[in-house]
Amino acid sequence: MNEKLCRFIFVMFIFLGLLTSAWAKNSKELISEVFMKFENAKYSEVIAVLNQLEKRIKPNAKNYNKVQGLVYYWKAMSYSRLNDYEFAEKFFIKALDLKYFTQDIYYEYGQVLYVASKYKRARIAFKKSVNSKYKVGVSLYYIAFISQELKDYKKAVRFYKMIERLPAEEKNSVLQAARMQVGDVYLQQIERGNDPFQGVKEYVIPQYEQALEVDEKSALAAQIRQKIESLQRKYEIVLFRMRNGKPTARPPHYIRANFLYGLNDNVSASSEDTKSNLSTEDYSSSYYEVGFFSRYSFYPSDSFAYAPEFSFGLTQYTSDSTNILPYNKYYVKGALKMNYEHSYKSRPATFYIDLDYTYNADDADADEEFAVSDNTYGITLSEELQFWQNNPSTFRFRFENISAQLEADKSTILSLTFEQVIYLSKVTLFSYNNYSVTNYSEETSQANNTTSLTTRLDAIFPTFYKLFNPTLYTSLTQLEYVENTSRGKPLLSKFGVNLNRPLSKKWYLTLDYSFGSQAADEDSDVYKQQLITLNLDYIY
Amino acid sequence: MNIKKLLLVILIVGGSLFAFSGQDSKKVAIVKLVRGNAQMLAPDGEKGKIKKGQWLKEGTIIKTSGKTFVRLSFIDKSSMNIGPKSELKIEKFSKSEAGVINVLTGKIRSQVTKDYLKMDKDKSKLFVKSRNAVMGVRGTDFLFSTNKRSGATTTVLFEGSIVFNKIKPGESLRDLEAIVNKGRRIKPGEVSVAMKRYKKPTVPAKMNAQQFEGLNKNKTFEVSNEKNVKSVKSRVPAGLTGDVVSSDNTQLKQEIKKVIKVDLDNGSNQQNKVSVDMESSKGFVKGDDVKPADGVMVHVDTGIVIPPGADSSFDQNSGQWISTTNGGVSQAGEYIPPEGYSVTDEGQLVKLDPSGGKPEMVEIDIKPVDEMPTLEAVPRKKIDSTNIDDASGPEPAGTLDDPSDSNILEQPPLPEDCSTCNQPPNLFKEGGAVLPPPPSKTRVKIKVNKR
Repeated sequence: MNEKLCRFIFVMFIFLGLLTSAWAKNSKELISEVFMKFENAKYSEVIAVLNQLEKRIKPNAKNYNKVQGLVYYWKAMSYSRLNDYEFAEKFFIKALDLKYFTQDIYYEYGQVLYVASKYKRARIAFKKSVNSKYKVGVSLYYIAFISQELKDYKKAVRFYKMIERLPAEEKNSVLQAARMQVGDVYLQQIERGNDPFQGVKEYVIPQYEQALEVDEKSALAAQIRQKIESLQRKYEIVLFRMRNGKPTARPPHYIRANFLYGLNDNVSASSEDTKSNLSTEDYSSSYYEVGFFSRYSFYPSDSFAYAPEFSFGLTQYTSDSTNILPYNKYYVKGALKMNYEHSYKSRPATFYIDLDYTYNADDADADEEFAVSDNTYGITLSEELQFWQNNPSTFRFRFENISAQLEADKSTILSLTFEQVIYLSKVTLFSYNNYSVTNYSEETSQANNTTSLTTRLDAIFPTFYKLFNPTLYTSLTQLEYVENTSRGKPLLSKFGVNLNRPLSKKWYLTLDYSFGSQAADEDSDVYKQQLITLNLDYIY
Repeated sequence: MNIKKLLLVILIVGGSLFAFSGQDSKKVAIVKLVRGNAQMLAPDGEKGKIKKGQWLKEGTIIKTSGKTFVRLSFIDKSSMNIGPKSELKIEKFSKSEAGVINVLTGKIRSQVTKDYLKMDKDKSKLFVKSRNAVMGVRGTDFLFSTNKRSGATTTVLFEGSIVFNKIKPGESLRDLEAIVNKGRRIKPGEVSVAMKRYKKPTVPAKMNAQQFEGLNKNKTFEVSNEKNVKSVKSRVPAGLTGDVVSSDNTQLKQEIKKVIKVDLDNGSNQQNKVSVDMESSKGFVKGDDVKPADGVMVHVDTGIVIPPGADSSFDQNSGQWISTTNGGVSQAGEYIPPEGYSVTDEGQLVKLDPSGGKPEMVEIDIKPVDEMPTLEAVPRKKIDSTNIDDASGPEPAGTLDDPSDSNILEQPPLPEDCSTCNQPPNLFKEGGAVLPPPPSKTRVKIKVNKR
């Protein structure tokens, strides 16, 4: 009997052992499966399985608190990720009631409380998270941010500043935001005081600038820059617009470089007769130009601005014919442009004074070497008015003194210009009208004294199928040899098309074609000229 | 006499065989299920209500009314569910080459058989096109929706592989394979939308997990009555981003190991983990390539894309950005705007004026998540007239007799978005100054004196 009982007990023991191990195995497989679901973000399914698992936990088991605590914690995390914060909070509380602590539990719990706007409890949770050394930087940020929300500004700044003292791996992700928030708190305080202008300039903007230093390329940096700019506008720390509404150059520097390649079928403007006695290379050539332009604008007040400019340009023809070589040239130019904003008949007006100096060199001797040709000094006085609102009209008076190396080339040019911009719904028109008088100082050259009248019209169209911006232009120039009436009045007519396409924010491509034809009494003054150029601009 | 009879028999039998075979070859799909009211117009002029068990021929136009659903089974065992307020044409469906389904408006859900026509794996087995986009189906289960008014076409892939591209205005549709080959390759779980404002369809992004799950289950185009969802405060405090405040599963894993003695760091757990490319998940704008952040919600009927905003939290498990302020999704997988917002018939998301004033159009410009404003901060503009009564549904499809949309084959492609047409011309350079015309262009003949 005893033997039978022993056998029975033994069999039962084995059976129960196997059953327990099977249960244990199943539970472990189940845990593994649930975790997989959790990692694949199937949180609803995780909660359902955890509910099943929970039923298997025996309340009197030795490790009940730990297992049950884990299930509550896990469920809370799942609800939190489903944005079901009410349930998440409930299960975090249950886990904590069982004294179930993990390194991250207060951080996760703090987030849930924060979302529920239970700020004071959230702040305590994040403080405990800091004590657990879990995401210390972010936890401090939460504490500071919550304090800021609770208008406890001193505490907010204290906790934001604590972030500064953390090791790099803890503070890197929050430092920029923390510095920005300190700036926000400063601004909030300063704007309540009597002299916000000084406070913004001395404390707030420098604080934002410190935040920018952390990472100038981050998305937050863009926000910080916006904050700085809006304060600069609000407190007029930096001038954004002139008094008449023209935007100021921001940044104040402007640099442009260009490379142009062109084909000119009649470089020397030779008549058909002349051309028939020459080979093609003697009057036609491809060429390239390299240019550089820079300007820095200063705004001493909202009505006065000045900008020194520097530019350089080189034109080099590929033909080495002695007829073409003299057209190779370069120049170096310095200018000072000043403008004064005022009003005329209650409409915006601007008065400009431009002073310039140009050093010109060319290969007039066709010896493949550049030599100075002249130094040109110019002054331009302009007045921009608005007879029609937003359609500026500009009058210019220019005097130019060409101090040439050769006495025969010394001359002065006086010119009067009228420019008009007309914005229409589908096209912008630009009209340019110029009258100029050229006087040579040497008597022998005075036969070349001229007056010229130019009128030009540009029609600028909107973007064509997002491909390019087309411009059509045409001009007429009537020339008169004042001292040599036998040459008559040559008339140069020209038309052209210009296609401009921005390649990126900094690169621009321009294709230009023009055809010119001059009619005159003297056969040698009659010519035709075609020009095609491709220009690449880089704007810094 | 015998020869005459024989010839007559041959003629009759042959003729009938020819006629029947011709008729049979055109039957391409059988109607398996109809719910609601659906009409058909066959190429031979036959028209009427669609009935269960009815065979449809190549060239048939099918149009469904509201709350209507039709299931077709094609000759290759592929099935296609046609949603409410939809109109499509079975343009081509033969045994020798890929079929073409033209969806003028509405949505379809299709399951294409894997060994369909046993064609080249890299070639499309079926083309589904709309007025502005075409999709080459190389796999199995997808949703395709197009909206005539918004001009947007949306595609969601549940299983298999599809390639999706926009049709350029005036582009020849003879070689659809060539068009789709240059398009976006979409993976299961991803969504791409071809919109008027972008040159190419959006770079496929992971669809919001809840929406994807809802759409995946909703094969019969069930609709919910939910109009709005309540916004929940974001867990991301201002200044920080979702990835910074999110935490991974390390702690949970350690706890499981400590408490239940299960080591999750080995075996299949590691293999099944979703890999997350954080940078790509944030979305980007690189020229014509525009990708909303992973976790994007889409109003499928209109193609409105709701990218997660900067206040979105980041779920490290799904690799998705979760917004609690941009609206939510119904059980049926529909995008539900947050309180105070609505979707119009024109396919516009609008902010309603609680005081009864004119609604404002929300102009969503897709940006990476950390630059993407929340819906509340997205720029808006006033609109004059908007029908906001039938807020969440697509536009009515009309009837087959409606002359305005009777000839779906001849629909011209939509004109390109011309948002830049009114840009000011290129008059301004050099920091805002008007450039004078280059004087060299009107200069007179240059006379060079030798030194």
